[in-house]
Amino acid sequence: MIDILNLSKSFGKQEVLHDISLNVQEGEVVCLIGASGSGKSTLLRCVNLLETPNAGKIIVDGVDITASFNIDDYRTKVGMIFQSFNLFPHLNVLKNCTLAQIKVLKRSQKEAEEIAYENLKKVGLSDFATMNVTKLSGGQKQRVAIARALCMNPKILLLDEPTSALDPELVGEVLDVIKDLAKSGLTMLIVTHEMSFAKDVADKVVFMDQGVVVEAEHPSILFNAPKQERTKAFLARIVHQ
Amino acid sequence: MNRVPLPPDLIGGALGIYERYAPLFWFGVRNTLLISLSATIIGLFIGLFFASLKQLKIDNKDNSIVKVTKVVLRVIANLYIEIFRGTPMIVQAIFLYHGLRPFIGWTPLTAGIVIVSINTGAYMAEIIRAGIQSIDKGQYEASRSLGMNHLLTMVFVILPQAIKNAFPAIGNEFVVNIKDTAVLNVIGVSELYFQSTAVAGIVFRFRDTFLITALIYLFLTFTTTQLLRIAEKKLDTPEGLVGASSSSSKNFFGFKRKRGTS
Repeated sequence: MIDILNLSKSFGKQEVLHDISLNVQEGEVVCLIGASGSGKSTLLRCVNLLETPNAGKIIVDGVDITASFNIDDYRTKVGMIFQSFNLFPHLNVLKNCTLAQIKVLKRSQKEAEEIAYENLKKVGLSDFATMNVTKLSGGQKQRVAIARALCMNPKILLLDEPTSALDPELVGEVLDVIKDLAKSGLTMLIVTHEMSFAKDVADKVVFMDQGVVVEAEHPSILFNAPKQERTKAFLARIVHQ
Repeated sequence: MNRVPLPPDLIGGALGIYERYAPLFWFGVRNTLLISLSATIIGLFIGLFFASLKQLKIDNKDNSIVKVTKVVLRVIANLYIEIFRGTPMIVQAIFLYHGLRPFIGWTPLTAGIVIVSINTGAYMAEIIRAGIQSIDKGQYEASRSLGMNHLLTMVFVILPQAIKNAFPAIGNEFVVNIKDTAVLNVIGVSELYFQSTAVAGIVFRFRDTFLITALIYLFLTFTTTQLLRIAEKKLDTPEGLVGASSSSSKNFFGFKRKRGTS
C-alpha cells in the first residue's frame, strides 16, 4: 500500500531523514517510535506531502506521490491526525466534520451530516455535534479530529503523536478509538511514545534514530528481543523512566 | 433673514448656531457616515484581496510563467500598500480627484468614497495580513490535509479566524475614517467639516461653530466605538462567528457528559 524508497529530507543543511525505506501493507498498523528529533514526525508528514522529500520515492497504491500529480485529491485519501488536534475553532463539531466533505468531495449537506454523525458515533461523540470545539476536553478534541478525518473515507490514516498533548487521564479514550480503528482494517501509520499501546495494536513497530530506520519488526520481536544495540539502549531508557 | 443677533459667548453662540443651522450639520453627518462606512467596507474587501496577493508563495513545482506572475502580483500589492500608506490622504484626494476627473467626470462624493476606500484598503491589507499570521500554522496544515486547496483553506478556515482576530483593528479603521473624511473638503465633498466651514462662513463665528462640529464628531466616534465594543464581545463568545444558529445555547447547557466512552 505504501512503499517508501530511499527517502531523504533535509531542512537547510540539517539532514532529518536519511535513506529511509519502509513498506506498509494494506490494513497494517505501523507504529513509529524513537527519541524526539529522530525524524518520525517528518517521515509521517512526508507521506502526506506536508513536507516535500529531497530524494527518494513514496509510492502509494502504485502511484509515485513525489512526482507531480493532484495533491488535493491524494490528500482526501490520506487522513492526518495532529498532536495539537488542529480543529477549526470557528466551527462547531459537526461543521468541522462536514466542511471538507461538502467543499472537496461535493457531498450534499444532508449526506455530509449523516456521514459526520456516523463517524462521531464511532468515536463516541454523536451527542456533541452542535457543540463548539473550544468547549471540548483534549481527549474529545482528538476524537473529533479522528472523526473529521474518517469522514473523508481515507484509505490511510496518519497519526502524529495523537496523545502527546493530552492529560494522562484522557489518553485512554483516544487510544481506545484508535484500537477500534486498527481492528476495522484501516491502514495506519502512527508516531507514538505509548509503548504498551504500540505493543498492543501494531503489526509492525519501526524504531528510528537520527533520521534512519534502525529496526522494523513485529512488536513481539522488537520489544522482547531487539537485534540492534541502539534499539536496546532506547528501550532500556524507556523502561527505566 | 432678520433675527436677533447670536449671543456673544461660546455656549450661547454655539447653541444659537445649532438651532439655526442644524440641517446643514446633519447633512454633513449623513455624508460623513456614508463615506466612512462604505469606504471601510469596500476597503476591507480591497485589503482582503491585496493581503491574499501578499500571501502568494513561490513553489518549486510552479512553472516559470506562474512564478513570474506571482512575483509581479506581489510587487503590485507591495507598491500599492507602500504608496497609499506613505502619502497623506489629503494629497491622494487632490491628486486622484483632479487627475481622473477629465476621464471619468466623477462627483466629489463618488471620488471621496473611492479615495477613502483605496486608502483604507492599504491599511486593511496590513491588518488582515497580521490577522492571517496570528493563525496557527496547524490550521492550514489540517485543512490542506483534508484535501482542501489553498483557496478553500483561505476562504473557509483561515480568513474567518483572521478577520475575527483583526476585528478590533478593522473597527478602529472605521472610527479613524469618520474623522479623516474631513480632509475631503479639499475636493468639495459636503461632509461634516465642509458643512461646518460653510456655516461658520455665514455666521462668521468659527469658534462657536466648531464647538458644535467637535461635539458631533465626538458623538459619532463615541457611539461607534461603543457599538464596536458590543460587537466584539459578541464575537468573543464561544459561538463566535458560527453565528447564533440553532446550535448554541440549548446544547451548551443541555449536553450529556459522556467521558471515557468509546
